[in-house]
Amino acid sequence: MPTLLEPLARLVEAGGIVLVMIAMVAMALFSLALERGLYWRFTHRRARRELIERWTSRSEHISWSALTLREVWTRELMARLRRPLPWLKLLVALCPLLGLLGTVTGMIQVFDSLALTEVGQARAMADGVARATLPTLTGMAIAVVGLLFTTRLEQVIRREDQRLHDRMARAVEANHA
Amino acid sequence: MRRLLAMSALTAALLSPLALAQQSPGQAAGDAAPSLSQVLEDFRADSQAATNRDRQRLTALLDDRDALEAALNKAQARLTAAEQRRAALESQRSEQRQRLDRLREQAGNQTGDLGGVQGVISQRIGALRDDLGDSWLTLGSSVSLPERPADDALLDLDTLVALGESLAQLTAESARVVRFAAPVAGRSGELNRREVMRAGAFAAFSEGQLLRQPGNGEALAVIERTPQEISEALRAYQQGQREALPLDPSQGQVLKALTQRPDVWQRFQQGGYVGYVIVALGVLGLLVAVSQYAYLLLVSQRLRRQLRDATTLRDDNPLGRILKRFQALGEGHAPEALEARLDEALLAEQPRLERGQPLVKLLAAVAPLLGLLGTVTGMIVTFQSITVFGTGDPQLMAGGISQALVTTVLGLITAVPLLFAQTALASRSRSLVGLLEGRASAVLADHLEGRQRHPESRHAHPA
Repeated sequence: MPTLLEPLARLVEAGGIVLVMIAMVAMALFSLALERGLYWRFTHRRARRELIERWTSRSEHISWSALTLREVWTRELMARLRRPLPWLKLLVALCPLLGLLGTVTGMIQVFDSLALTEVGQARAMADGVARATLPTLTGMAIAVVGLLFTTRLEQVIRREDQRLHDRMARAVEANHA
Repeated sequence: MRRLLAMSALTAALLSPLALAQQSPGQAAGDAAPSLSQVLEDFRADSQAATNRDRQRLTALLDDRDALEAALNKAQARLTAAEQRRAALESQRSEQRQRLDRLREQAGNQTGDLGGVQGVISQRIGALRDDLGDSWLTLGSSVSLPERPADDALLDLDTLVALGESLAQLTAESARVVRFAAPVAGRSGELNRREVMRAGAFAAFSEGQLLRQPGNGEALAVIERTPQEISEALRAYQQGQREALPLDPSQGQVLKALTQRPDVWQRFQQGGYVGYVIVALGVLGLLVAVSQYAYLLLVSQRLRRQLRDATTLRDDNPLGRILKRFQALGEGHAPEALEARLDEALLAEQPRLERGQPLVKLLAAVAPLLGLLGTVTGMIVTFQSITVFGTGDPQLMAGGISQALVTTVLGLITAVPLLFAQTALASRSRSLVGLLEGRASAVLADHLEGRQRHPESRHAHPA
């Protein structure tokens, strides 16, 4: 096991505390994404089925109040589906910010080592430069992946909203026909 | 005519001092003329007298020829005696030199190639003394450095054995940790007798403070600042509570670097005014966010209580207020009119729930911008110092550069929690508004249905 974890430890050592923070943000981001996937696959489908059943079991579907109720129900369901979206977006926005933070702290380290050691000691600066560049790289990479996921999720939710309305309308039509 | 007169008067005035000056040497010559001739007379008389005296001495010497002869003989006798003595001394010297040569030859024959070895050994001992001159090894132990041999001393077995012994002892000493009591100069310079621990050739410390390398014959002294964690580890080690000991293998270089590194508070101060402004704005934004979030938590708690107990409408929560307005409306309104009323009531509740969000959002956006501002001002300071002092000393530029970087860091660090706070506020207020909207619409719809037909049960679907 230590041999498995060793590259990770070296990465942490090279990237500094900011890299650990980015890793934590990435973990939160991807676990939220996974949670959304599971929710979509299991809980949401059941809830949708129940909602459509409740709608079709109503006696009338045409009055203003019925339509309002339908609207309220669908909105609630969609709100539950959409709830972690702002947090996902926040985490995606946080990644480049943390990367920049890592860059600046790394630069501070470079200047520290410049002030302490003789000029021209490239080895002394290498540590700081690694800490400056690694967090930016990982932050950007994670932000890109997260951005892909959030846009995809938004699209799915928007389509689901329309489809839910469609299905409910169609279910009633099938009943009446 | 008048002009000519004036000019002649001026010339006369100019000439008169000249005339005076020409006159005065004549007067002086007139005064000194008798004395000068007298000096000449005196000189002639003196030379005459000297000539007479010499002539008298010459005649006297010529008369006393015997005395002259005796003096000459005495001098010659002294010369011969001195020459004899010189010859004796020279013969003795050459004899001694021969003896020395013989002895050297004998030594060379006896030692063979050991001459080279001796050179190496004396060089080694010198290097060892130079290297270990300011080391900890001789501190608190009986070991001393090997003595430097004299230039023409012969290599003998005792010297070699002593050197080997000394080297072995020094090596053994470099692996020992010793405890002893010695006078130590504190930070303010007073000497106290303290318990000192020395770890091999690496470091010595006393009561959690590292000691400076001892110069020749000086008392031990503590260094200016021992970093906190090192100090604690040293103290624990000295009291026997810890096995590990922090060491500086670079003979003080790393420690010097550590003590020069600014701590967090000094770093923060490097940010300057821009840094203070950023942090103040961040604190303001967080305060606003926290207070608004507390208000939202209170509202959602009251809302939940209202949802549990739907029969009694309370005034302390938005849902209760909206539903009360409906109750007050009475019967007979068109559904569209009721919906318009509902929207109106919701709109009235919304600002209180979304209060503070724009400010937090603004501050979250402004903090990195201010960090950028600090970067630019720091760069300006740097370039000013370059203009004044040139690029020769990087230390002079360091102030501006650290301001530039620290403000950026502060801006980013401030932006992150503000972004979190903003998202938390937005998502909670949005969910509250959605809940209000849904519940109010549902209640309205139920109400309408119940009015139209048999009272259907109030819809209580899972929240």
